[in-house]
Amino acid sequence: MHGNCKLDATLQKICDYPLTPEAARAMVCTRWAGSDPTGGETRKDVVVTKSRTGPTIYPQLPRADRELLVHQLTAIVLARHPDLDDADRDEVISTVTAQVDDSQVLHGFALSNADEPIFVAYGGEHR
Amino acid sequence: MTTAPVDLDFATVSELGALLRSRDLSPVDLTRHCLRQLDSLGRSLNAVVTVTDDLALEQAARAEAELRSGIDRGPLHGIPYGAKDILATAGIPTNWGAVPFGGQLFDKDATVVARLRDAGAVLVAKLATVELAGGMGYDHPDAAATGAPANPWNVDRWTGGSSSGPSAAVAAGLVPFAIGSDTGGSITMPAAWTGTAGLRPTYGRVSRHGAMALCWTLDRLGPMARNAYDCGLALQAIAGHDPQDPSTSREPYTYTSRAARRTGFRFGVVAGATDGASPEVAANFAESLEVLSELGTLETVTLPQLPYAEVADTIMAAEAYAAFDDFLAAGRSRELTARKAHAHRLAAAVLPAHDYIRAQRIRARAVTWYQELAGQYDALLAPTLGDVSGGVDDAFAYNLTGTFSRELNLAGVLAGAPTISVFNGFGADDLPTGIAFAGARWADNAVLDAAAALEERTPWSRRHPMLAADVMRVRAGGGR
Repeated sequence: MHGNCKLDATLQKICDYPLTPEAARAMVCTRWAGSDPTGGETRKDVVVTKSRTGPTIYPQLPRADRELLVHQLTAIVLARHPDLDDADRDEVISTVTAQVDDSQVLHGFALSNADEPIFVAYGGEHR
Repeated sequence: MTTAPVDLDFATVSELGALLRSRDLSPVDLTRHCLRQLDSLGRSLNAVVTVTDDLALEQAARAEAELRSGIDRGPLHGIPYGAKDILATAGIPTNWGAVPFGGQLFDKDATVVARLRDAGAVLVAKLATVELAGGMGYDHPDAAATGAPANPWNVDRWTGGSSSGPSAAVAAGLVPFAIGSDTGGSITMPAAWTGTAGLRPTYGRVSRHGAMALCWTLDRLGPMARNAYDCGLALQAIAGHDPQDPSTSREPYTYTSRAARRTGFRFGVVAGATDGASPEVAANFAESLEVLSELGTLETVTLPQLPYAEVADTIMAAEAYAAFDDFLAAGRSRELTARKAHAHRLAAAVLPAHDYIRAQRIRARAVTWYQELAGQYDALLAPTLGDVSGGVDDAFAYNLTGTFSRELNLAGVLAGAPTISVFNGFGADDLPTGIAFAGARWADNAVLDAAAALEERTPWSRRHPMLAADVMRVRAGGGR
């Protein structure tokens, strides 16, 4: 226990969504829409795969999955830094949410296997 | 010393250089003047971290002796300057603007500091910076060990960051030029808000060795000065290959030994550049375009539609976390002044590596497309910022998005391309506004020449704040 009611409540909320092997498999299926071997599963309020309106690029997650992902990622940060106070915790949640949102946008930009990161080009520019 | 015919506080590097060479002014007297100003006005503005009296007087005495004996190291010989306090200076504390790094000492100068010393320039101060150059997050001007830096045009307003000290010191006439750093706009934005010229040179033009690393693929060092020409003089002194910074180009750089252009430019005006800007910023930009239309052609251009802010945010988060991972893992971000910084960057611990790589892959596309567009012009143009500076006691939104489009800034940040912001008029509350000239990679001289041409045709770069009343009020405890 952290002796921090708000923090404990957050962690409890996270624990409401245990990442069981089935849930993990469901998340994987969500990420790889169109290749879901189960034909779509429902985990609590998180509808996977069949909730999609069409194929998307990883990780164009439904809102509920995105929130779950934010909670789980936040839990990892809080586990590393268990003595953060309420304001810090809110900042972590806000920033993780922004990072997940950024990730959504980045993965909505189509790239090919041949697209190299810029530092490869920078590394050769002055040789 | 005879009476100088120009206002020492606001003289340009060239004007001061002429006085030094005619012996109407000595490097030692000029340095003593700057040291006094820095110690009084500079501290009142929270622009100064360390006044380097002993070193400055020693360097000034050497410059004086050399100039008298006919040794001339060039346009910066005997000229005082300030360095943002993220640049290492041997034996002088380099605090990175942050309480946890207070008193930090390095045994070697940063390459830019060494090069300026070799050019005969005189280091008079380490200047304020947002703590850790803002890389841990901040949403209030007071996010610095030295407190919130006041804007010399109105001490109730902020300078912008993170090169707050360099911009304030130049604007207040405490130093003729300074060296700042820029990862996402930290030179150009405070330049715009303080009515100074600030150049973010091409990535690879200037060595970062000895500068605090925040984001290895984005960090750049550059000059801040009264005008674009002085920025060029300083760039010439600090540019060039450095074996200790493998990102630096082996191509030599010259600014003075060439024919500078003043006409025949081709400008690209970014479509929608004033969307979300204040009416005054839009009006000043329109007036600048009218002047520039006499110097060359203007065409409307559209920047490639890319997720600039998301790419920049992701790269900054990953690299800033990596640059300070031990510090963050130890929970030491809670020692920083900014409340936001206590936990903000911790979130990057769970930013997937492949997202960072993806951002750098999209960035490669951005570079290619930006180069294709910018390569057709001498400079792409947009207002540097959408409004005048905010309150020095006011919180602000910490993000790269907003109603005013900053796409030209972010495109230049990601492309590693040069951008200079110069003073182009006054906005609300008689505060300065800026115009940004962004060029293709390695086209530093094109943007410098274009900006200098605008400055020559307008009065703004010769305007300066009337400091005395405001600063005296602060010093008397009247508060801001």
